[in-house]
Amino acid sequence: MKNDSLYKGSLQTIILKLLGENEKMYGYEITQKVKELTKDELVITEGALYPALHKLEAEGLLESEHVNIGNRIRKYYKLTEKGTQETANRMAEMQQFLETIAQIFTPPLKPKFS
Amino acid sequence: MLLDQSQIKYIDDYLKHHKIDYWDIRIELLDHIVSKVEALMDHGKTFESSLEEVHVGFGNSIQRYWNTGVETGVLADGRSFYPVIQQFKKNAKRNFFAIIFRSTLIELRTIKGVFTLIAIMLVFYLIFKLTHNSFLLSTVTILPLFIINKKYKDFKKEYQNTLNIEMYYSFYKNLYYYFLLLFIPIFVIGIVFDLNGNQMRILSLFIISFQTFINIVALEQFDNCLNKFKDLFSKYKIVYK
Repeated sequence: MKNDSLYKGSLQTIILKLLGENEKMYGYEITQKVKELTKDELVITEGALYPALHKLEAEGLLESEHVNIGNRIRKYYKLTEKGTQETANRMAEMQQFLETIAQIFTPPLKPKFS
Repeated sequence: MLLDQSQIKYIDDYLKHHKIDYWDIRIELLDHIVSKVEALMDHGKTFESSLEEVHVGFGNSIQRYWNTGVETGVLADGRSFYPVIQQFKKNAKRNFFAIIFRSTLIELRTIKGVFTLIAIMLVFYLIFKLTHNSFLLSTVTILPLFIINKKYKDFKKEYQNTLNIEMYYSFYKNLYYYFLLLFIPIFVIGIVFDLNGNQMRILSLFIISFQTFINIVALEQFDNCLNKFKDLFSKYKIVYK
C-alpha cells in the first residue's frame, strides 16, 4: 500500500526537476509525465499540484506564460534563473537524503565464515 | 480527440456553477479538466462519462442529498473545489508579499530608490515645518490606500473578478491597516515630535517615510499586476467569446 506522506515532501523537487529537463510544461503535462516515469505508481492530484506550482511561482523559482492554443488558453510554467540554481541545490539535497536513508535500509555486506 | 467549443463552454459553465467565479483561475482549471477529458475520450469514453470521472477525481461526488431529494450528476456537488480555491487565495497573497518584498529591496539598492526615500522624508519634514500639523501628515500617508482602492474598483468594473487581483488588493489593505495601527501612536505629541511640538524626531520621520516608500512600491507593483491581467483578459475574451 502506497504511503502518500513519503512522497509529499518531494513534490516541489519533482516539479523543479521536470521543468529543468523541459523548457516549459503545463499542469496536466506534469502529472502525466510523473505518472509515466513512475509507471503509474505516483499520481499527483490537482489539489497537490497547483498549490505547489503557485508556491514555487510565489518564491520566484517559476514564471508562467499564458498561450492561446486555439480552443482555450493554457498556462505554461518554466524555471527562472533563480529556479535553475535552486533546482541544482534541491537535487543535491535529495541525493544526500537518499544516500542517508539508504544507509538505514540497506544492510552493509558482511562476509560469512563457516 | 479535441473537444469542440460547446463542450469547452459546458465545462466553463460547470466551473462557474461550482462557484469558481474568477476567470483567471478558471483558465488553468479549465485547461486541466479539458486535457483530462480529451485523454479519457481518446480511450473510448463519452464526454459525459469522462467529465464525471474527472469530477469525481477532484474529490467531488455525483450525488447530493437535499431535504427535497437527491440531486445527481456533475452539477450536484463541487465542494472539493473549495479548498483548492482557498489554497489559490493563500498563494496569491504570498505571491504579492514576495513581489513587494523583492521590489522594495531592489529599489533600495538603486540611486533612484534612495533619492525617493530621502525626498519623501524632506516632503514630510517640510509639511510639518510649514504647517506644524501632524494630522495633515497622517492624511498624506492615507493617500495610497485611496488610490489603490479606486484602481481596484475600476479594474473590477471593466475586467470582471480575478482571484489574484482581489487577493493582492486584500493583502495590500491588510498591510496598510497594520502599518496604520503601528504608526497611529507615533502621531501623538511627544513621540513623533518633541514635547514642545517644535521638532520632528528623526527616527519617527524615517519610520513614517519608509512606510510611505513601501506603499509607493506596492502601488507600482499593483499597477504592474493590473496591466498583466488586462493583457491576459484580452486573450481570454478572444478565446472565450
